[in-house]
Amino acid sequence: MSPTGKEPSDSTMKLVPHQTALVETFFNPASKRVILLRGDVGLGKSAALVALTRRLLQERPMARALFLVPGVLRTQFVEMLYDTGTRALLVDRYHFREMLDSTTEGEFWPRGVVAVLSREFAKQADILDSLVGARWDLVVADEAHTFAGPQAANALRRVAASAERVILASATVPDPRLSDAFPADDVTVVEWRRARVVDHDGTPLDTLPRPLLQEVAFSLSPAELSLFETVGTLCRVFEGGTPQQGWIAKSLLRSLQSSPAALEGALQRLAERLGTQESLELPLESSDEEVLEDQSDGHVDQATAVKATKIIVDALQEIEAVGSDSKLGAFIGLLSRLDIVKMPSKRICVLTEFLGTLYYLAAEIESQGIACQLLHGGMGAEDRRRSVPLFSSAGGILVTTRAATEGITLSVVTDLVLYDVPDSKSALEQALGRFDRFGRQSRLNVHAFAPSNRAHVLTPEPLLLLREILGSAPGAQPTH
Amino acid sequence: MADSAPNLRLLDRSSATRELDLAAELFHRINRIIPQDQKVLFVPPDCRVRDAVALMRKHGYSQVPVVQNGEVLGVFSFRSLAQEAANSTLEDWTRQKCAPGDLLVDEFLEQFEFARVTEEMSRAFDAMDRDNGILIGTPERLVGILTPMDFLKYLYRVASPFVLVSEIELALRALIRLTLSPEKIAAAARRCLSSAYGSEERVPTLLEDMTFDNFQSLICHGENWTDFEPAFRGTRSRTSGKLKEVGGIRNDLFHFKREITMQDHQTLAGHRNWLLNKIKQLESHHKTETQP
Repeated sequence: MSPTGKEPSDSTMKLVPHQTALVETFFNPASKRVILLRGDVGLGKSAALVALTRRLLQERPMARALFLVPGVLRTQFVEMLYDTGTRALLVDRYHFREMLDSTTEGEFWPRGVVAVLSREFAKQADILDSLVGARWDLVVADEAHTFAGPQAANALRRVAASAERVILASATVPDPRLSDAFPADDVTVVEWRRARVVDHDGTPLDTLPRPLLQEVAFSLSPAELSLFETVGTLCRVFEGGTPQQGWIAKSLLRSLQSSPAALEGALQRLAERLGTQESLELPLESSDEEVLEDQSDGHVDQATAVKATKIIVDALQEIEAVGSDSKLGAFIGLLSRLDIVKMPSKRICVLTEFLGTLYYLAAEIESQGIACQLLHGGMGAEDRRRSVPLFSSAGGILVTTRAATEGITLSVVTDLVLYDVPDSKSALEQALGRFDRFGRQSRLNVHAFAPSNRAHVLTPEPLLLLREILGSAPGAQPTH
Repeated sequence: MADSAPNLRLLDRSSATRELDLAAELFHRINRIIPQDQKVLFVPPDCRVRDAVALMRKHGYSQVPVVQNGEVLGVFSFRSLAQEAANSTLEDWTRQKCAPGDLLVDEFLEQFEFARVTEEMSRAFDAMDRDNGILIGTPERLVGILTPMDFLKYLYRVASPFVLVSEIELALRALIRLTLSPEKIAAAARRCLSSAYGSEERVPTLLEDMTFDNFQSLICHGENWTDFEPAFRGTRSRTSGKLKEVGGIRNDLFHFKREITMQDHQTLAGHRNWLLNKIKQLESHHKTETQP
């Protein structure tokens, strides 16, 4: 029956007090139908949700549970459920068709099993209709704040409407649309704050100081500044257009700030789509992220396409003409200062938003005679499973995309290099939460790059956001 | 996550079960051929031919299932319309007292065969040849519809990464040959591959004997890059990163580690085109140089 096709194991899960308290709250008859779990990143929400679901299915073996989770976390949740002896079903389009094919009559969604779906998949019309038609004993929406678009919020509201119990788990305040869908008198709020969580003996779990931001200054060369201007001109072609075109401009700027490899990939993809007059609905960059929702109206008129294509050709030629990469130079300088060879206890993780940048950095690190492990969403499952333990035990450098770190605990990392700084507060907090969580042995050093001769197309917001989150001001922390 | 001793928490299903999953997913069953984003379009039997044709043209389809109360009655297609029209006599048309477009689709139905999503793709060949399409599921529960174009696209998706990788590899060999003489290739290989092979004698000196990783080392080695820089342009890291990325996908592809994604496909195609341009530029440069 299960596409994952095997019997679960039966290991028990150790919970810390705040996690146990959530489970008890859920089973407390005085609790309301909906529980809003608002907890800082890194405090163990996933494990608590899994433990709670396990208990539900143990007490009510015919219950029907649904997990709506970010796409990259689907497998992780299925694995966690299996590890606790809970049957789980990862449902994507292929599995859904097989279920359709094998179900003749009666109830479609099985009982005694947790169905795990990505939110992107769940909001597709036929899937949503099927989910809405079932009577769920429990609906869990992980990262509930990501149900932000009208489609996603509406999908969650519809699925949850007839559910007996609902849990909305989030590190940040959910979208107001969700608050409207779940009125306050129907919601029990559970708050987890990092400073307040304690171990079984009452000792605080988080005793380390906040991560220390260390900014790495670098100076763009005249050729790089010229390239930045060219890409800025290209962005202005799109900025005045539809929301989707505005998103293209933003995406180009993000790739420009990352690396020539990321920019080149984004430009090539854009040129290809402009050339075929294809709707620009898919992301331009290989950012290893899920497709943003509600991106319609992606067509570009002929005149704009011609103008943009000409600038793209110029920009691609400029990339070829640029003989050096100042940011990469600063990165290599940083690695040299961190001296991974002489300090084997160091665990350096380099985080990027782009696959192109990941390989670009990996090639450069290896050319310096330093080994590195890679982690990204496109890797095979076995390679992914190998990368992090290898990095953890052998030390060295892990180069990873941000998306691939979701659901993984990386508290072993001593130095986090944000080669690209995520440009939203929630993304940044999520990213930092993978590293700065209980279980850490030492304070986390965070390194980010700051151009000293900023081109006007560059936006300083991500760096400002990082300073705000880590509570540091420029110049207040040691800089290189 | 509530981690106790280890700081790292990864998935722990056995590799054997993962491989079973992967193998099951990679069998060329009908479920894999149905486009992932397919939304089955259907019309009721009382839909007018004019409206059905307009709908089919709008979506680029040549047939549409006719469904009533969730049950498939048949398929309306350009072919069924043409066949019925061709078989009709003038008397038939006169009796209808309306334009062909005003007729209802249920007068033009043809019956398609059904297949299950779990069946092998070869199961659909005869039906495809005969009807130009096959319905997936059962008359009571229609899951999808497959056409020869879906098969073609699927087979292209499966085969094209192999073709792209072979083109990239051959393009790299050509670029190396256009840049270095055989003697220089051998010297460059010894320079950068000796430590990996243990001694200079073991180092492959013919391009045909080298691995993809060898090509990356050969081109991007610090001392060799000065020769290759005019051909590849940009920074060494950029070229090295591209080749490393291709190498990663190639490895996953040839060792059947995972399914190649659309993003991988775009990456391979982009890097292949980039190399093709380099060859063209280099050839043009060589021609200019050799002209009297």
